[in-house]
Parts: sequence; C-alpha cells; structure tokens
Amino acid sequence: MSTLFLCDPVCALPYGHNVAALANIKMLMGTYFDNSVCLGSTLLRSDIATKFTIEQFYKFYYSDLMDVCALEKEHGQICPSGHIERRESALFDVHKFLNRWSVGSDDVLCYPSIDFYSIEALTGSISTLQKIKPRRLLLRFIGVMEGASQAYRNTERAMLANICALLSSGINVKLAAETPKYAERLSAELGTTVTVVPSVENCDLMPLPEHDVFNVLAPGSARGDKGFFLLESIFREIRRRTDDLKIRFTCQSLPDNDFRSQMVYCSKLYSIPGVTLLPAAISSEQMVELYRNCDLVLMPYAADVYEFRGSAVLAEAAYYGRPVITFDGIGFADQVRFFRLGSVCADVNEMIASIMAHSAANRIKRESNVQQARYRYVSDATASYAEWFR
Amino acid sequence: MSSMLFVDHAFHKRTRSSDFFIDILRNEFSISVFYVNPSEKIDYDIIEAARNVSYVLIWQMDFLAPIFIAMGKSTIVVPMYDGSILMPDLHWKISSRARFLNFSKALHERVRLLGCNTKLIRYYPEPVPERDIVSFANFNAFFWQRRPDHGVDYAHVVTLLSREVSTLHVHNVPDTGAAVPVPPPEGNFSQTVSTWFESRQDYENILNSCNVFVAPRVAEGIGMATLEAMARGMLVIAHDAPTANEYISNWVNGILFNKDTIPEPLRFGHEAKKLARCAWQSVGLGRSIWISSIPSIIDWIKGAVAAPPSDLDPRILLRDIWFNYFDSLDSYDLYLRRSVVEVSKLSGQPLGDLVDLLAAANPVVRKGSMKAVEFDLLPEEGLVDLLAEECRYLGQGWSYAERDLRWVEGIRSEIHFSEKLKSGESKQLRFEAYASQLLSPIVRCTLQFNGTFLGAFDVRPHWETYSINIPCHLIKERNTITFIFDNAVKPDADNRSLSVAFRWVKIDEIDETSPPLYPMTRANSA
Repeated sequence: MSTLFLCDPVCALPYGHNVAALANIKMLMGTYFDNSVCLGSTLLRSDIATKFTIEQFYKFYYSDLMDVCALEKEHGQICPSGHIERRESALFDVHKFLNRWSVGSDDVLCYPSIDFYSIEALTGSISTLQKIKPRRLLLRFIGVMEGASQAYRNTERAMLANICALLSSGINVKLAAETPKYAERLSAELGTTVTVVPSVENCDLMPLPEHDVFNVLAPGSARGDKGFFLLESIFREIRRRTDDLKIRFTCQSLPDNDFRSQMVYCSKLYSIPGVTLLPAAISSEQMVELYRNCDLVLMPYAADVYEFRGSAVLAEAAYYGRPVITFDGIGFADQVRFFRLGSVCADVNEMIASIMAHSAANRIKRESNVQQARYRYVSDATASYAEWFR
Repeated sequence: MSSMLFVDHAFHKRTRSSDFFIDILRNEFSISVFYVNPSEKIDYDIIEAARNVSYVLIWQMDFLAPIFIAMGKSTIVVPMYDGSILMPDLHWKISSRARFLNFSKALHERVRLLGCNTKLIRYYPEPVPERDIVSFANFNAFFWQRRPDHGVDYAHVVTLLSREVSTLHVHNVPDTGAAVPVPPPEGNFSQTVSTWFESRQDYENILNSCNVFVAPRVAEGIGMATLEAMARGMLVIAHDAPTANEYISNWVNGILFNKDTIPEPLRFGHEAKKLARCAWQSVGLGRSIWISSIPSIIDWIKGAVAAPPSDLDPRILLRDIWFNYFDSLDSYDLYLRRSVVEVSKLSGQPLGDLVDLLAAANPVVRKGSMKAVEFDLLPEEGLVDLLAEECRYLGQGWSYAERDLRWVEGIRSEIHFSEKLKSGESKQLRFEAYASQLLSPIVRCTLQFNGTFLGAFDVRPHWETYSINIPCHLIKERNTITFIFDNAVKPDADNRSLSVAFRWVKIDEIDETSPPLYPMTRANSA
C-alpha cells in the first residue's frame, strides 16, 4: 500500500497558496497512490481542514514572521518561539509523523512549499529516514519560507547545507523549484539537477467575457512587492491616454495594518474613473467571478523580491485562460515568454502600452492565444510533476 | 411595509439635498421625517417619534444614534465626512450596534477600522445627454463663495483661474456670517457677482453659461454641487479633500488644488475639454453602478438588527449627548471617555477592548499577551503593599515604587492574587489613592473584578481611602482587579504618563464599620 504524504507545516492561513497547493498536487498525483494524506498546521481553521481533508498536524514554527495571534487564541495554543524551540518542535513533529503513519518504503513524502524548519527537522531525522527508506523525499522550493529563520546571518547557507546533507544521505531526495531561474540557481549551488515544477490549478478554461469593455484585473490581497503602489500611476496614465472608459480596472486593497498608513494612496486609486477597489480579502467564489469577467491579468511584481519566485496567480491565469502582463527579471517571466502566456515588459511605460495593445486586439485572436498557451502550460506542468515524482 | 423614522438636519428641509435618498427609501419603507435643528433647544419629541417605528435612519446627525440604540431600535447611520471625520473613536464605538452607510471612502474606512459595520456607497446624479454637454470655446467659470473663512475664497480662486478664464461669475452668498466683498477683477477676464437668485432656474441659467466649476467647500458629505457640475460635463476644480478627491482623479477627470499652499495659476486650456468629458463619462458609469447598487443598499438597511433595549433613560442620554456635543469637541470627547461604561453597554463591546482603544494599546496588549501571569496567595491580612519594591501582585500598568507612593502609568492597572475559596464569603476591597493634581478636579475610575464591572467612582487629588464590596460569586481561585481611569497626564520633567497614585490595596473581610463606597455612576449622579 503506497501513500503520498503532502506535508506543509506553514499551511495555517485560510488564504494564500498553501491550501491550494496541497489540494491541487493531491488531485494531480494522488491517483498514482493507494492513499494520499495532506498535513497542515494545527492552526489551520477546522472548516478548511475538513473541506480540503487536511490533517491539522504540525505546530507552527513561524509566529515571529506571520501574525497568527488570533489563530493561537482560537486554538488555545502557543507556538514555539526561539530557534532552538522551533527546531525541536519541528524535529518532534517529523518523528511523530513518521511513527503515527508508519511511513515505509512504499511511501512518498512531498513538501510542495518546503520551509526552513522542516529542512532542519528532516536533516535531524536522516538516520530515521535511512532506516525507513521512503520511496521518495520530494522537496519543492518556491522562494518563500525556505529561508525563514532569524537565527542566522546567512539563513540560505544553513538551508543549503542541510539540503546537501540530505542529498548525500542516501535517501532518495528529488528537488524541484517553481521557476526555471530558481531551479538553475539551486542546481548551481547544490550540484544536482532540479526539476522545474510550476504551480498547478484545478479549474477549467473559461471563455473570454463577451462585453464591450476591457477588464484588467490585478488579483490578490495588495502588497508593495506585488506592485500595488504602481497601480495608480498605471491606471491613471491609461485613463489619460484614452478617450473613453472602455478599459476598466479591478484590484484588491491592502490588509488593514498596511492600509492604515496608505489611506491617501488608496483614495487616489479609488478616485480614478473605472477603477473598482475591492477589500483585501474576498471569497474564492468572488475570485472566480473576477477571473470570469476579466480580459487581462496584471502582475507588476517587484523584480527584486520575485527574482526567483513563481506565482499561484500565474497558474490561475493560465488555467482560467487569461493572458498576463508582468515585468522582465522576475522568476516567472521566462515561463510567460516560453508558453506565450502574455507579455513581459521592461518598465511601467511598456506595461501601459502593452495593456492598451491587448485591449485593442480582437477577442477571437486573444482567445485562441490563451487557449494555446494554456494547453502548453498545462501539458508541460503535468509532465514536470510526473518527472519529479518518477 | 416597515416603518422608518428618517432623522435629518433642519438645513436639508430647505436644500432638499437628502430627498434623493428618502425617495429611494419610500419604495420600501413607510417614512416619517424628523428634522433636528441644532440652533434650537432639544426637541424631546424625537424620542416619541421613534417609539413605534421599526427602523431609525440618521442622516448626518450621527451623534444622536446612541439614543435610538438605547431604545432598542434597528438603527442605520449615514454620517457625512465634513461633519464627522474628526469625531473621536468612542463616537463610532458607541454606535457599534448600528449599521453605517458611508458616502465617503475615507470615513467608511475610519468607521470600518474601528470595527463598525459599514457599507461604502457612491452616489452619482444622472448625467446630462451628450448633446447638452457644455462647450469649451472659451472658459467661463462659476464660483459660489460659501466658506471664505475656510480658505476657498475669491482671492485664491482668482489666482488659480485668472490665466485661463474669460469670465468669472461669483455668487457671493456665504453659508454663515457676512459676505466678504468681491473686489473688481484684476486680469483679462470679466466678472459678474450675484448675491441672490430669484429661483433655482436663475441659478441654473448662470451655471449653464459656465463650463468651469470651482467646488465651493473644503470638504463635503457627498458633494452634490460638484457632482452635478461633473454631470454637466464641466471642468471641476476642487480642494484636494474628500469627497471631491474621491470622485476626481487629478488631471484625469478634474483638477485638485491645495487651499493651504500659495496658489499658482492653472494652465488647463489644452486639456480642459478632455478632463471635463472624462468627468461626464465617469458620472455616466458611476450612475449605472449607483442604480444597480440600490437593492443592496436596501438589503443592508433591512439587515440592521434591533439593539437590546438598555436601562439608560433616552431623555437623559439625549440631554447629555446634545449638550456635550454642541459644547465643543473636547467636551464631547471627555464626556464619552467618562461614559466608557455606558459606551460598553450600548455597544456591546467589552470594557477592556474600549480601554485598549482609548489608551492606544500596543499590538502586544491588543493581541493578548500569552505570557503567564502569576497569582500569589495574599498574606493573611490581605494587604498588597504597593510601596514594596518587589511587589508580587502587580500586573500591567504600574510604575516603580517611590518613597511613599506608586503611580499607575497610563490609564489601566491590574493586581493579581489567588484566594483559598471559602463558600459564600464576600470580601471588601479597600485602597488608598490620590489623583494627579494636573488632571481635572477628579479622575473617574472604573473598577473591574475578574472582568466584571464592580463600580465607578471619582478619585480626588488628595489621599483618601476607598472601599467597595466584592460579591462572593465573583471571587475565584485566581483573581484580577482592574483599575481603569479616564485620563492620564505627563508632568514636566517626567517621561511617564500618570493618572492615580496608590499606597496600598487590601482585600479582606467586610468591615461593617467602614461602609462601602457608593459607586457614583452617571445614572444616579445629581
């Protein structure tokens, strides 16, 4: 009996990519196993855990980096604090996991978004893993939590050293990264091949909307590194260059803690004709509707923060069949180019021109472009996962 | 049809600027309108008017909302940015049980971030047909000098416009006070001045001859005049503040200026027509969105839940709120802070949360520190000696022990202790305290025992002993006494913000010879 274990101790929040990653990879690869088990944080809301069949298992090791106070109170828990306590908790969790599920040589352990203390714990469990000999230990790097520790001046080196230890332990470890650029970097640092495994989604292609406006969507809770503070100048300039309100814009606002200090900016964004400014958090049903009604997805992400990172939004746009516009230099720009998922721009001026060009293209051409792009992206992603799991 | 009392400012009886909303409500509710005139004495009939209605909707007069909440009414509040943006936090919190409708995003966010239930709505009038959009052969400006005292005055406007306009019409009718004389024009434009319009049509005729509109007020609640100008396809120039800057994106569909900076002449000749056209288009788009949002507004109103009736006398509440609100903002703020217990009752918000809000608690306090609190057994005589340097019973809020006192730093302090439970025994809490002489004659103190309100009283600026009984059912194995004060002050040459000083606290058997302090709550004060 083979079991696929999808492990994500960081999976605690109801929003973000973690829940979706567990669910989507389980959907894609779970059928190749007799069983699949998803494991998330003990702080994950019970209704979400039930809905997506995720075990609330891991303690949360990152309360210093993510605000989980409300979740701690709700669950009556106190998260481990300090490096030693976090490392020990993670180690304890791995041992508890291996014992509780009697992990054996037919089983695959997969970390879709590997985190720092999981790497520490796996390294600390090498001898146990050597005895168990799991079929595969799959670690996927997405550039978010793998360096998440304040214990070191150079956390990346600690992380890479631990990975090296795992690679040389004889355990069947296979690495993956979300973007080609990140895969290349890891490969160079570790001296091993790294599969490119992008985000996947579980949704059907949606036809482009039939309307006489052109809707530009910048989805996701607003953040500076997602280019939120570029939106006002982009939308405003497009409005100034056009004679009508055909091009319309939808974006989400900042979370409250950030919003308080950015009210003037948000007000300016709000005042632009044809801009809809939604709350920071919306339901998944609302998000689907936004994609359904949009013609273009805008991702003006910061090239320095996203230098190696991918984006679940890119996967959503690809799967729903919506072109994206983004900046050169970010981790997933290569994928946008290669799969013709949209346009890659050098700067804001190019981005403005690109939006206007997309809005001027006829719908039939746009639709055939996205269909072809989707087909290529999905088939390549599926093959990548198969290669990673092989 | 449910019944609704629409409470409005008497000014709107003349201007009819709330009629558009009343007309929407009339389709769904049986409406009676009550106009409140702030320049007249309190009209207690408002309480009777609300007695038998299902809903009360308060337009602009948001400070009256607590009265209807206290009466157990489903209350909807429509505040206006210009009148209410400076209101203190407790002004909103006291109406937490109401539902808010906000025409201003800035005000909506203020109210929302305080945890109130608010819906942002955005009104647009009907735009004129495209054929009726004003032409831009020349630039003819209209300016109603309504509040020159606020900074949008003739001199400022003329500097902004003098380079571009051919004509300027000044309607010199201020909202308050005497009109400021309009000097003869200095520049290449001709000028007309009116001080009166025989009819609305006369006003419209003048406006129809203009294509540049200067928004007359610094801030607005909705901004009807500005919106109507945009709807006509005029170039609108406005001070950069809500609500104007929530409808106008600078140099996209209008022009924003800052009345607090030295004005520079505007150069809009080459762009005016485009800006104005974009304004007209934005009104058209906004109007369709407004119309489609009306059902959701009605649903929002209907979803307002009746507050549980409180034991507060609405007449006394109306009297107290009215006099403090119209006295000054400081008086109103102090009144609300002193009435924090009543605010807690009306809002349903825990007293501790309101205190954290008032004291601008840092995130650690607000999130709830998970640090363990120690509960030590009291000595046999039940004395907590606050002059002891290492006092084991202190929770948050205490400063260091000084020679003969220990101050509370800030407005909240706690004492923790454990108790060997004996059945059915009430206790007496006594303490010696002294209010900072820098504060007003008294410092109001609210006492909580294990989170339950125990009493409220006034601490005087001299050493005095206070006592109050603790009912036995409140006493547990681990206990917390919380002192909450309405004010604190930073003395010269001291970094601390201080409220009340203590010498000792004692929890022991009830001493019949020392009767408990009579809690001086607002309800039974003279």
